[in-house]
Amino acid sequence: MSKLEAKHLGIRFGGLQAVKDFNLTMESGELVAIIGPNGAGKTTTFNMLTGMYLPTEGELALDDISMVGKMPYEINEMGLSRTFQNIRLFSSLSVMENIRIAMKREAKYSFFEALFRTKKYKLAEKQINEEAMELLKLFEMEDVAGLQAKNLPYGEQRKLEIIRALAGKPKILLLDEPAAGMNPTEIEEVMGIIAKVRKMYDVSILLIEHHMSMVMKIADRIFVLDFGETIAEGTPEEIQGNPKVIEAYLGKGGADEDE
Amino acid sequence: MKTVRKIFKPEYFIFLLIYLVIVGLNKMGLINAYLFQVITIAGINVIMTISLNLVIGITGQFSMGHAGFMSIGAYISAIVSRLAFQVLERTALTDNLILLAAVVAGGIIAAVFGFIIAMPTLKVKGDYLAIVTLGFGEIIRAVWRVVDYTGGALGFSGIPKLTNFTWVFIILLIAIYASRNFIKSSFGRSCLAVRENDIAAEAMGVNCRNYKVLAFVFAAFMAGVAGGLYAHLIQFIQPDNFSAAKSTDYIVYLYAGGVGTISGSIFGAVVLTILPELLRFLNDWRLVIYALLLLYIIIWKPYGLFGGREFKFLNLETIEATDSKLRKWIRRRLRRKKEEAKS
Repeated sequence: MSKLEAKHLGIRFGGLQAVKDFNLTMESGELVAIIGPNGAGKTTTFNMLTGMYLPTEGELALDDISMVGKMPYEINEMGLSRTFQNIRLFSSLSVMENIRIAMKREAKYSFFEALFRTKKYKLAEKQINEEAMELLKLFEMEDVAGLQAKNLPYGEQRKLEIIRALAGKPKILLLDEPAAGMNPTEIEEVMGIIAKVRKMYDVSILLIEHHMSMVMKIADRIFVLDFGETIAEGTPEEIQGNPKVIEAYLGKGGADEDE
Repeated sequence: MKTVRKIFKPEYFIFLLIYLVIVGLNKMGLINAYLFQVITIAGINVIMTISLNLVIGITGQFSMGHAGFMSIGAYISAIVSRLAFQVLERTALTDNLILLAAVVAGGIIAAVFGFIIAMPTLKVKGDYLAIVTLGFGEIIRAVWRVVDYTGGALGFSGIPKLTNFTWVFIILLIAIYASRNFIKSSFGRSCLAVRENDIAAEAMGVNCRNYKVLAFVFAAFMAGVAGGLYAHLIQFIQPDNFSAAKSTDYIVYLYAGGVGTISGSIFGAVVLTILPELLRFLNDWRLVIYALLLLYIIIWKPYGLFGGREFKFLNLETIEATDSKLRKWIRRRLRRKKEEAKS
């Protein structure tokens, strides 16, 4: 059971208030989506949650332990794992190696135990290899385990990023536009992967996405951001009918023209 | 039979064979003392290049002051052996024990300096790091010039000859083994992650700074050991032996052989140490040939002479030419999709 809590979270870059008064409480197993037009502050929010930016206002806690001021690797160790909007794989390493790097917490041996290949090292490495292979099999990527990550097709690279984020056994998974640049069939596939992740792992998911059809189908709750402010929050049905949201996306009067 | 094979892997006999062939040819007089010395120096250069590979090739931190660590190892170990022989007599046993002690001491002190230097410098990246490490190498050289105890700029002479080919070969094997194991462990993988993408590495729970420091310290230790071997082989060291040009030599060996691979480091250092000596009969033209070889590598072999491959016995994962594999996989996937669509 894990709980991610953000209270009055905000960040200011000089004179620009990029995100303001962001409040989020995520319970275990939930899928929450953040939507909003370009430049609304969605990725900035992600960067604050994962420790890449230091929030200038507000509180942030995972299971009541504050995350403010922690380095990204510390936050990852606490149980938050993310993917990136622009793919950031370890591109010249193999797919397998990408997964193994993310599983570093399983490697419970010291530096000298690794240098001299003790029994402990061998056991831990064997387990890492098996688990990584299992994970790849689960997502039907075992055939490409030995390929360089950069040689994978675009969609597979995105998939690998999600798997890599999962490999560290996070409590909360943050997906930054997992379906960006994909065609409708590929989006279907991503939705399948997310559904699979939710079914197989005890993990809550926070998602940024532009594809409304996808968000409306899979999200339990939706946050709508515009110019750094949370303008609406609720279930997909509530959001769809919210005039403020329609205004943010279509401009003033857009709602009237629709009728 | 299987366990026997496991312990006595046939690949390992290659090393024994190489060792026996070199020593045997030397005993038979086919390799003269001069060439034998060159081969021994090549061994030391291999240790240096493997060590540099950990920093540049694996962790992706461009360091231009590696000869600085070597000089620390060389001077410290020379001091240790000088002090030791003031008390002890020279016998075969004390010779070997003191060499080992001196070399390890040199390595440890070099590692300590590696740590001290890594802490502030590793905040900078890329070109800036190159300049900072270059500066470090020069500072070390300047310091040795003013230390009277070690002979200042005149150099440290009278170092006993303790290093022999056997020692270099043994330590070289240990260096290969240790760096292979490092790369194949979680520590080496984290370093690779830092090289590939530090932002993603950090997001995957890799403390980039710690792993950079770790790689630096580990490499400095190895370089210190190599320096100790060098001092007790040449018997005379002076600060200018460890100039920026020396650091550059190691970078050239590394890139010529194939950066990021152990096999490339071995190959590059051996070829580029021995080749200029074999070409000595060409007088000044050898430098031209050396330069032409480098140009050939840069233009036609950008991944080094070894082309990003590894010797098989190292059992390392390498980046194979994956195109055919990839095409096969895509074809299989497409077929599967078609079948799904039909049913």
